[in-house]
Amino acid sequence: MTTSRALPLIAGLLLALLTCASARADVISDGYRGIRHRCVVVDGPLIREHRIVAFPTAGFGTAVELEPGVPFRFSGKYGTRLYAVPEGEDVGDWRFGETDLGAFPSCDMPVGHVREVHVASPVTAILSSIELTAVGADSLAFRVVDEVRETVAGVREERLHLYLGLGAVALLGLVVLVRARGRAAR
Amino acid sequence: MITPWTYGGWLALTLILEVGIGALAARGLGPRRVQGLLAVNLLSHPLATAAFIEGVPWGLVEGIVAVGEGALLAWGLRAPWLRAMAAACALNGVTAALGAALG
Repeated sequence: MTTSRALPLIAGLLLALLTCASARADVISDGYRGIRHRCVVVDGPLIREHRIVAFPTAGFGTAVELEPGVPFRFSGKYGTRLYAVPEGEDVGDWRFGETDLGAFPSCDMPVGHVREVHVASPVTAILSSIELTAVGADSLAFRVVDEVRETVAGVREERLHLYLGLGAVALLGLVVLVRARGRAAR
Repeated sequence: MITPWTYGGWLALTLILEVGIGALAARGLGPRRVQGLLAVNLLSHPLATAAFIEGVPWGLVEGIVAVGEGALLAWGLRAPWLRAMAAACALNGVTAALGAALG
């Protein structure tokens, strides 16, 4: 096959590989790698009435008081729970075990902890946004409002796929243009 | 969210309009020039789409695309620069006006 005939074929194959996820399944070997998954609580009226504490976040003795808009780590391994402590209540220092958080309404993390992704995945970090929707006598209710999956250079995953597809189309255009220039020279 | 089908529709519409109008405007447009027009649009459309998504104003994108396509046409078809620029600006002007009219 001549080079001029092979180029569009190669460009077409690249386009298929870049835009169709199932086409990559047989190309990349299996394997997983770790990523960072954090959570952020969005601002709202209920949040301002309570202090939300995540415990344990990394190991059995680490607690974090959440602030709206500030991402925090959590742990699926240690089973992080969220606790709502009424604002203004003197609870001592929960970081040193002076507070019995079990006395306050609580819930499991509303998102599953993603610790690793397939090696072919471009995702490097996940940030889940959660909103406090209800505070009961014993329990809390959060809902997941957004999930941002970041890839290299902070580009969102869905946008990266789009840009790869657009790049493949542009590459195809460049190949056709170079061929047209070659023909024009004859 | 832009799906491959959505983008494919935009690209197809642009190709049909620009190549179609180009062919109508210059009767006897040979296959080499049709290929050139097609290639230039395949190259510029995805780049323009990415720029628009990143927040570059539509008017500025259209302006850069017209000049860029003119330069690419001149280079790719070894055509006179002034003619290529004029053709690219006219074609993009028509398609931009149609796009604006169709909303």
